[in-house]
Amino acid sequence: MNQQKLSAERLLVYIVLLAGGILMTLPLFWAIFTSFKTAAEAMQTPPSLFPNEWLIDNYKKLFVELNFGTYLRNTLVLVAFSFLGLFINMMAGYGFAKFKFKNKEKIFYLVLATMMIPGQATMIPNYLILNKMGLTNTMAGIILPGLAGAFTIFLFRQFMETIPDDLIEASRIDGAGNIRIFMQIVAPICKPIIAVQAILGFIHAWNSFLWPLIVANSEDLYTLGVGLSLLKGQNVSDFALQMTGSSLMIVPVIILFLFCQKYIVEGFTTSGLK
Amino acid sequence: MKFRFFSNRPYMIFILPALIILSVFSIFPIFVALGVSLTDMNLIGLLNWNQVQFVGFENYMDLLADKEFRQAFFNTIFYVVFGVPLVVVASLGVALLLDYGKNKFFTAARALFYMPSVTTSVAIAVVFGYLYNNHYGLFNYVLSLFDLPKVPWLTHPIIAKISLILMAAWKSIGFNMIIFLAALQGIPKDYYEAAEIDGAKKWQKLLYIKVPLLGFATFFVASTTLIGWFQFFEEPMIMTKGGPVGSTNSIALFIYDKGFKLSEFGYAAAGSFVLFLIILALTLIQFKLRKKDNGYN
Amino acid sequence: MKKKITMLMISLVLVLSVLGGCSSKSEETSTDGKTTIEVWAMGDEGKRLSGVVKDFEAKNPKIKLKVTAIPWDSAHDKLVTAAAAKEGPDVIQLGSSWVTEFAAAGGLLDLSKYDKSEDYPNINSDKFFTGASEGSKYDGNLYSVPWYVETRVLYYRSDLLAQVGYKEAPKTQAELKDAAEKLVKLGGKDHYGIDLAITDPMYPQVFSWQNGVDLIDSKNRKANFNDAKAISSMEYYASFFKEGLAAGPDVQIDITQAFADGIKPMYISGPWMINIMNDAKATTGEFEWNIAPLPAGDTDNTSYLGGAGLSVSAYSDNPEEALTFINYMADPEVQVNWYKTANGLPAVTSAWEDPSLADDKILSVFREQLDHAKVPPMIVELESIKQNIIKMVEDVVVGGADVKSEMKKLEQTAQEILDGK
Repeated sequence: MNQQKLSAERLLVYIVLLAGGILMTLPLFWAIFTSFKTAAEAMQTPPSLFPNEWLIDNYKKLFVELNFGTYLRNTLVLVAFSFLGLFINMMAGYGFAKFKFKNKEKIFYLVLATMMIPGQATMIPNYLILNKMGLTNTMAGIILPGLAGAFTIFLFRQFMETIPDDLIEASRIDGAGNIRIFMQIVAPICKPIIAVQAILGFIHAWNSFLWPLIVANSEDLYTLGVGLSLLKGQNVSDFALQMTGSSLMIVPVIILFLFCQKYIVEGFTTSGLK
Repeated sequence: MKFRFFSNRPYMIFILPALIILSVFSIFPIFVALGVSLTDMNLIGLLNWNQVQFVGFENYMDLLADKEFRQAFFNTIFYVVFGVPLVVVASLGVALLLDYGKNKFFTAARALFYMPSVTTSVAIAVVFGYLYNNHYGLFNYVLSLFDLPKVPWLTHPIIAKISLILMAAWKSIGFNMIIFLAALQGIPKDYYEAAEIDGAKKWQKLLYIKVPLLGFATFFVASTTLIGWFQFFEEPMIMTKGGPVGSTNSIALFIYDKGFKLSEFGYAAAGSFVLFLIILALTLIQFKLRKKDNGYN
Repeated sequence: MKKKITMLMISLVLVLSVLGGCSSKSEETSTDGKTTIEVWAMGDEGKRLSGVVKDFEAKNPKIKLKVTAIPWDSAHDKLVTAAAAKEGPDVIQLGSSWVTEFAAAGGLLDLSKYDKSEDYPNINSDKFFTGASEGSKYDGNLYSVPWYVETRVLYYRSDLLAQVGYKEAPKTQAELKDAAEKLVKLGGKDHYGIDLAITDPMYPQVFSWQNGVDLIDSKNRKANFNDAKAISSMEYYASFFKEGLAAGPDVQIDITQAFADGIKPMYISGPWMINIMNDAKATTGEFEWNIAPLPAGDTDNTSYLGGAGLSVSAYSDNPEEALTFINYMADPEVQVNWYKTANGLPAVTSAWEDPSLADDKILSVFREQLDHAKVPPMIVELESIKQNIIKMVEDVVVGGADVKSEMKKLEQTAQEILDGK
């Protein structure tokens, strides 16, 4: 009897998740299917889900017309540095979570405050600062302002606050230094959050558009996001071609997510926190 | 000397790198924006700084008198009041459902729910444009099957706001659900085992163990979502451009229009600063409440 | 673990510094006595402009050309930030409203003294369409040289119009409305006569121009919204929506399909729709379409003129080489080639004598309309007045406000903006 009730409940969960999941992914699949359509079919109302004919012309055109290699290289550099940024933010999160110092709250509020001002307000000042540093039109100029982020610091701090102090104290008594505690005790516990942030940082770097465009004065420094938006004309744009670009950008993120989500789930169960 | 500085302040090693970057590229520009908001800076002034004039609080006074800004302000409040609870509850609900089992199906479902956060906004705009389309849209088609009247999804002042909220919530569930999931996975198994020995029912476990232990995650999601909704921008920008008749305009979109379309940098900076102060005040209140009500620690 | 991460960090920092070093290497200085000219052009057009580099460099061996394509999406943001830092390219592609904006701010070089100079024979404002030349001037000075142009004409379903008795396209504003009424009757429920987007401030201006009023008199800096003819033009425009001849904003259907399905059998648009119409006919089947110059009002059939010109940045170190490039782009032969590579219509009138343009029936309609096409007023306040126009049209069409009183209010608002209040 108990068994039966459970499976009815289970069935409901399955149905809700499945229906929700389909609703969630519809635009994504539509974008991918559209990349195989002709320009005319892509604009059809009501739109077709599957292409009348599966064409790869859009993909060919994309690779022929754009300097894909350059864009990809720059984007990958940004992605690599987003992981450095992740590390910097993780350290800061730890500093705020597990140390006591003067004005800690005030400094932390100052960090949080950076999330609250709209990006448009700081864009021009930032550009002028970079210009003074001689970093406009350089990769460093594109990377540097994004290395630290209040959102990530906040997330790590919130998470690390739940790590029991005893755990850290015990290691300290064993003679471990701050850095070793951070690397060997704290970092492994944070695996799920690191995985979450790695995906987020990856998406952010991967899709980055406005800042690289502002800083780069040469197509040699364009990222995928900037390069793909070159496809748009002033008055018309080939919709199917745009979707092709979008699909090319989305698929790697999905693959990364599938790879990372294992850590989100399993990370904690193997940690020392029990 | 240098080393003594760090050994006396071990936290410095951890927070200094982030603090330096944030100070240069975020905190300093906030003060620049504050300064700019007290001037009549426009494109001419930006190119010739000697033509910029200090105008005191004139921009702020103008904002208060600006009908368009007031409308954007109340629209934003509407977005926040309905958007924040919706996103928090929906993300938590999805996370709890996904935490229900551990087989391949749940792994796949987790990926599905995450997809909107990675889908590009162009694709989302087009698909939702179709779903919300008055004449050919899927939603109105479904309604017509039940003999229900057409709904003006994006062209009625209030319904348009709700449509945009649903769309934005749909997009942000993925990430927040992951935060909740990560937290759920972090609840030590012993807690459940202890509860099961005590004969707790499933819903009791949910209510008395899971939800309270998610406190830190809920706080994080709630406070970042609040900031996000106050800066609500992309959906009205791509779907309605603030219309019909300004009824979906948000403060952030107002600032963007003034700053980057009309190059009224001083006025836009004043708008940014007002928005900044509102968010700051509400976040401080949230933190104060959280401290008082720190349940499980 | 710790070692790995430390190594990773060190290598990342190294890469960062190397990358910084590499790309900050200034390309301005010449290695072989050549001067490098940087050109910023937008979007797809910018991408295609790279195609002229070879030919230009062959003809001008002392100049190296570097073209950077800027996406349309955030081109304005990019231009503003670059100008704020007083850096950027030597030559920039700008439309008329951006010419005004950047010229007024002092970001562009005054080219007046090069107009009709012997050194740059193609930079001659008499050689371009009048409208295009107007769109290159701010405050009486020349800040841009026309590159390509576009104008708006009437696209119509010739088969459907023939059915309601129009063998030729409507020739006057009255005929246009009459045709729209008949087309609605022919189509029936959920069909319209013409597509007129309420979010485009072009329509009120174009209909007013055709009746002899400039909504903004840029010379005397006076707003004319409360003028009797401006009001009647606006009422004419609004009547299409009130009488169900044009679809309001709540009808959301792509124009190409609406046109092919006969739901919106007429619309006003630019040359980029030619290919789209041909494609639509090829894929969706049976319909006949044609284009015609805009129907005339009391005065004439003025249309809107768009396109882009090339300007020299005030911060350019090599203005002469920049002008050499601009002069090259205004060469009639290069203009024809530009049409062939990017479909951009020549701004130089003599380029239209080339058979590839002169013999094309569709294009000759554009050629005719280009003689009767104007740019919006070249004033800095245009953008903010435009937003007020859009709001007013929305209030009238969606909110049902009274045209007369709204135009009176708008005149006041616009005049305040012009007076800098």
